[in-house]
Amino acid sequence: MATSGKQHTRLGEQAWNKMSKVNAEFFALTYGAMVMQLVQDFEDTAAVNAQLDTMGYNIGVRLIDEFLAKSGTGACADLRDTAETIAKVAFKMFLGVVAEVANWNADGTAFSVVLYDNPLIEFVELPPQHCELLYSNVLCGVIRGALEMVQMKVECRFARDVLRGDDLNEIRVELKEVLAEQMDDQYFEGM
Amino acid sequence: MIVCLAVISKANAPLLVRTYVDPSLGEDQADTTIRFHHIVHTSLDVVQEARAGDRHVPACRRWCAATRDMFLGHLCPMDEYEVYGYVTSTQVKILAVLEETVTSRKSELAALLHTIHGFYVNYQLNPFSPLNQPIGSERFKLAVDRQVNGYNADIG
Amino acid sequence: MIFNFYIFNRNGKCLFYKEWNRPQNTLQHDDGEEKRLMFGMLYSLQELVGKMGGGDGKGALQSFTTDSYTLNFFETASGLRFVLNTDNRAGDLTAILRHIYGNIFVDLVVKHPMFEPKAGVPLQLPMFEEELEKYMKSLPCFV
Repeated sequence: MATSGKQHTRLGEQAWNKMSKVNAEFFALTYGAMVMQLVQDFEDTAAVNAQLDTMGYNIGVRLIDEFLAKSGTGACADLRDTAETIAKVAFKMFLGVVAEVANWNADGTAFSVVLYDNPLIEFVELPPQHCELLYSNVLCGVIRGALEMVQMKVECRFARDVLRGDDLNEIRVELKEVLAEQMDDQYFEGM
Repeated sequence: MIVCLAVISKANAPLLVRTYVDPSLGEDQADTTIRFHHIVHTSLDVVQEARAGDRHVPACRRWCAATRDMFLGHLCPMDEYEVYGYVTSTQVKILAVLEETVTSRKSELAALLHTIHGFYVNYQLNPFSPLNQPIGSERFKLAVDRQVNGYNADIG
Repeated sequence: MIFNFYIFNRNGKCLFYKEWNRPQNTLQHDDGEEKRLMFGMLYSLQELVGKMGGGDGKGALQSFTTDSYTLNFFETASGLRFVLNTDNRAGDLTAILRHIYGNIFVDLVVKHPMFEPKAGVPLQLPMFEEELEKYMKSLPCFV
């Protein structure tokens, strides 16, 4: 187990070195401006959270191919492998930070991705009137979208958030079902 | 020691005024604040003058020649206090009102105001920070307080 | 010699088809039928190959050869299937399919803002076609 963890870390490093970089402040400010626009457009915080999740989902369904093609990881053997890959390879590759996997449930169908360092929130301080806002909810959407493309239906939510006063960021990922291959209608004509 | 620190917007509206007066002296907090608001407000005229005196310098170089140049130094005495100023390239002023029992070292004060300028920049980078409105951020206030108290402790 | 090239999505929709050399075409009358048969055949073959091999069959099928052509196959974990038909002298083309996926498809299709990953509509992206064309023609096994 320890060796496979190291291997993930190494893959993450390699992928990170290959990626083209963008200025962290530019990235954080762009994301901030977008969130602010959503906050202004939708009065309801829950709607903003949902919108961020949807955006993330749309990113995730694309990002998966970039990830598979450039990270050098193959299909994951099991959910533990998937979790490590997300935390050590994907987060490193796209955000430049390493996350930890923790809090497995008894059945091994749910885990947490723990982020000590979140580049999205570098300058952010939530004002009291937005205390329900899940500022980084886009990350949940990305994970959900990306996993759906590899046939894993998951539920994903922020369990702990530094911006809301917790000591670290924790994204809870729960596997709901493994999707079956679904053939297009055109293959059922003759039946 | 620093008894008041103020951040003033380009349009001369106060964004943040923090006072550091020993409450045991018996003055009402609200009175103290009003008194310093008044001092700060009056000092702004001096900042204006300092700027006017610079007219012969090309506008582009007037305020942003070098980082340290944003420190205006001693502006004026005001009642029993001394006022020091700092102006950013975007015309945000940071004023420090000092009660000078011993002569303060200018370089330390300049460094302090420079640090607070840094905090202000970080505050502005928060997407939730409103522009040109009083600063409500607890993080910013805490950082400023810590910095000023540290400075006062060193002097005292 | 490279004959033709398909990209299928997970549900068997043909996202892209291109042919360079096709001396004879017995399925000319129905374009959709051919793609359907192609995907169906691969799908069944993958299942069979997987069952015979004892695993889940992922990545087991890479190519097969008949008298007149070799079919090269590459499936991604996201369910995309790349199929490249060549003559029997082209050699192992796995690396080429990976390159098409990783460097051409991902950069010019997946990152294209108009591309909808889940819609399964045929691609109409001239940049991608051009780049693919250029790459294919640069290959020593192209002619």
